Amino acid sequence: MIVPSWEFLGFVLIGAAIFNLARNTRANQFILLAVNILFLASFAASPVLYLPFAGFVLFGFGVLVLLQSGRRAYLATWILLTLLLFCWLKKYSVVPQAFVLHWRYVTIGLSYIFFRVMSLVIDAGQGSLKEPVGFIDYLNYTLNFTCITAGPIQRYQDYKAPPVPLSVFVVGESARHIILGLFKVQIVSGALYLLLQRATNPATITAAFDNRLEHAAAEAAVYPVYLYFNFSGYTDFVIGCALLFGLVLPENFNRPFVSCNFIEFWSRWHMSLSGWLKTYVYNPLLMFLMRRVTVAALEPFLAVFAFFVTFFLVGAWHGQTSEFLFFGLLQGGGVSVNKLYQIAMGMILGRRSYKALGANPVYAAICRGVTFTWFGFTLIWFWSNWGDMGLTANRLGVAPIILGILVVIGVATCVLQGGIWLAAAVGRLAVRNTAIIDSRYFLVACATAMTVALLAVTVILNAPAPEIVYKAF
Amino acid sequence: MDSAEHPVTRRISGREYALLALTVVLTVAFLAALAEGTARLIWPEEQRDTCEVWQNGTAHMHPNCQSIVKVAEGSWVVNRYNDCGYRSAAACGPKPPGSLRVAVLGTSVSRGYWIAYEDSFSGRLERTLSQQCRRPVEFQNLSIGAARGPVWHTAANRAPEAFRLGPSALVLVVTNYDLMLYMPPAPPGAHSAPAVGGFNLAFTVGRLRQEFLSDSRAATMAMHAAYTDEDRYLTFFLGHGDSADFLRSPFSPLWRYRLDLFEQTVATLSKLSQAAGVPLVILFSPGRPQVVLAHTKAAGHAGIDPFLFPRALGEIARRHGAVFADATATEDVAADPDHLFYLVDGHPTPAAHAYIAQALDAALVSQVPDFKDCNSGLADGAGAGPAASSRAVK
Repeated sequence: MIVPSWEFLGFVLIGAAIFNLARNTRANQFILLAVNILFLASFAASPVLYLPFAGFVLFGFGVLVLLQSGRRAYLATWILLTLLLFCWLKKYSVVPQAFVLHWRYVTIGLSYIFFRVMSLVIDAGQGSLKEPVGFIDYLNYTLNFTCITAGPIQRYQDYKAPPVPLSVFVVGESARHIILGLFKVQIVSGALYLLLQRATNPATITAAFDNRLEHAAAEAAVYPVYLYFNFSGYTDFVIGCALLFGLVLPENFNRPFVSCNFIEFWSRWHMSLSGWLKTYVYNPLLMFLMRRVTVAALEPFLAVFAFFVTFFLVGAWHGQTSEFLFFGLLQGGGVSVNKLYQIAMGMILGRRSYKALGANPVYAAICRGVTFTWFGFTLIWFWSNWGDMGLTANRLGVAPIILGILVVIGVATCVLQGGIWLAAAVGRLAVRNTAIIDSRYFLVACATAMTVALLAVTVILNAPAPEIVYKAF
Repeated sequence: MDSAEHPVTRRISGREYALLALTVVLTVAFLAALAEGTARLIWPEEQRDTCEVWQNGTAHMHPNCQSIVKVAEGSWVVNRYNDCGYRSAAACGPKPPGSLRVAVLGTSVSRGYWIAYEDSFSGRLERTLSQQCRRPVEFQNLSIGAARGPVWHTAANRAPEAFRLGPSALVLVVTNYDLMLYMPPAPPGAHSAPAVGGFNLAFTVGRLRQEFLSDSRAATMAMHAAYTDEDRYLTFFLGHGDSADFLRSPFSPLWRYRLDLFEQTVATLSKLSQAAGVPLVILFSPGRPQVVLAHTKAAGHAGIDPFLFPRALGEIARRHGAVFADATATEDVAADPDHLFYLVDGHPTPAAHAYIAQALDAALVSQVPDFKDCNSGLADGAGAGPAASSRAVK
């Protein structure tokens, strides 16, 4: 079953109707489990194909039971074993080929299950789980069908927050997320996908300088926008679906392109992933380093190192090839250089002057443009491969590439600043002290317009929505 | 908008529910009006031909008249009618010495609806046949456009007028849509329309839907977008029962009835042709479904035969001693089947007229005595590819 799709939405609505008809919490748990298993069952016909997947889930529960029973002595070993088992099942290139299972089996959402299992193992090992996790709860948490495909990643403690009772407001909020999500994926990212196919096709590069410049700029500029609408649309959709089951999933995006630096960018982009890594990698690593390194002058640089490791993992997690390792290096490098720059500027200008510089609108706008461009540039290693990159770089030439990057910085600076001004102006429009964009009527009108557009595109063009990029991870 | 929270009041009154419903209705109405306005701006249309006059149930064109028309999907076109009201570049008077003349009967496809005369098969063949035959060749196009009834009776009625022009051949252009207009007389007491004073909901809804689809430019644009998908278009078309039954073997009783009536018309025309000593050429112009089925999507449609209908027409032509030309078989059509027709309107584009011209050229040169001395094959500007490979049967 594809997420998001009309078919999936129908499945959700039927499941939610049954779920909400049952007034008993226990019954609700079993209904949710049935829905989760039914969804998973849609990916393969033979139960044999689920064996490695089921093995991983059951292994996680076994470790959890052990740790919850107080046997926490070997926590590091269990963490390492969980990690190795995940890498083995995902067939990472670090795993020797002789050990890899050479048959096709279900791996849908395995990365996201790994994050949940790992956080449970660590939290149980550190004793930060308030109450024992039961088997049904464990399964519903790890196999949660609304976010198994591509997240968002949620900690068990947040998952176990009191469920949201169904009301007309919850249904309205759910519908708003679902419609917005479908609109972003089907219409906006669908249109951008067409543009992307044209913009990144090396065969369409000609000898003309303006054509090469246009290609170079498009290579860096189009994909981040496409990825944003594709992934944030998916996230909006599943947040809306989960609400119908009383579940509140975390947001994954918070206007990432308004970020003025790369560190801020990662606090707004794929927030559930960066938040998870901050909790389980960055913080423990920094604490560890600070305990070991006692030289005060080195303290700021420990954060730089911890940033590098954390965001290298963010990048490397995305795939099994060397392109993703390099993507990780660029993410880690970008964040740590950003941190070094902040330290250096603080030392050169003084904290107050540097803060004042950051508040300067022109400086902030340029930083925004540079941040966007850097992210777009690094994403080339995310969606392309060495062969295509080499071919494209050869055809483009050095000068168009450099000029193209400068063009993207300039255009992004202006467009993003313009967007911020426009959003601020629209936000100021108010009727009876209520901002129009927050008005129920405005939201209903927008949702209606998006629904009409969705139906028109679905019915008239019969075009399949583009795949969710993050489904592959 | 990703993380923006908006204030939620915990109660909604009945009045607010009503206003929210009204908001939905008004939004849809606004979008519909916006879409219609935009569509009309982007795709203007003028289907009414100001030169057209109706007398005794038959359409005629004002002599020496000029009109400007446009179908939504096409370009603006100037229609010029000669001194007899025919859509022809040449005058309709006595044939100039040494020249060849072809008279054409038919309906909208034959008249070259929505395309410039130079782009129609008549206009193209005037140029190319003149080169091939090394003497002037002119086409007198007597085709009527608007079909309000069984057109072949009208066509037959105009045959004497056509023969008076002294043509070397009389070409009758036929499409499956022309034959669709033949409907058996309704049995006594049967009513397709609601009785006077009564109200038939299904009929009214159906008529409103039809009128909406034909009048709304936004609907035209939407259908145009939908029909660009060949598979979807075929599924839609083949699901239309009677109008697609000419592709199904064996023919339905209604299509056998239509072919019988068509044969009667051909028989009448053939007798008149033989009396006048003018060869009769039946030219079949296919629609998009046939072209798509014949050249790109033949597989996967059991019981569908795109050549069934032209084969039946060819048989009728052969039985009555007429030459038959079938543009469906022009193989070059396969090169670009999606640009041969206005997708919603259905009429052939200039590109399709090039292929129709190829088929007729081949038939005239190989089967009509006055054209025997002409070189076969089209010069540049008429066809869009190599020599025609149409099936000409006598």
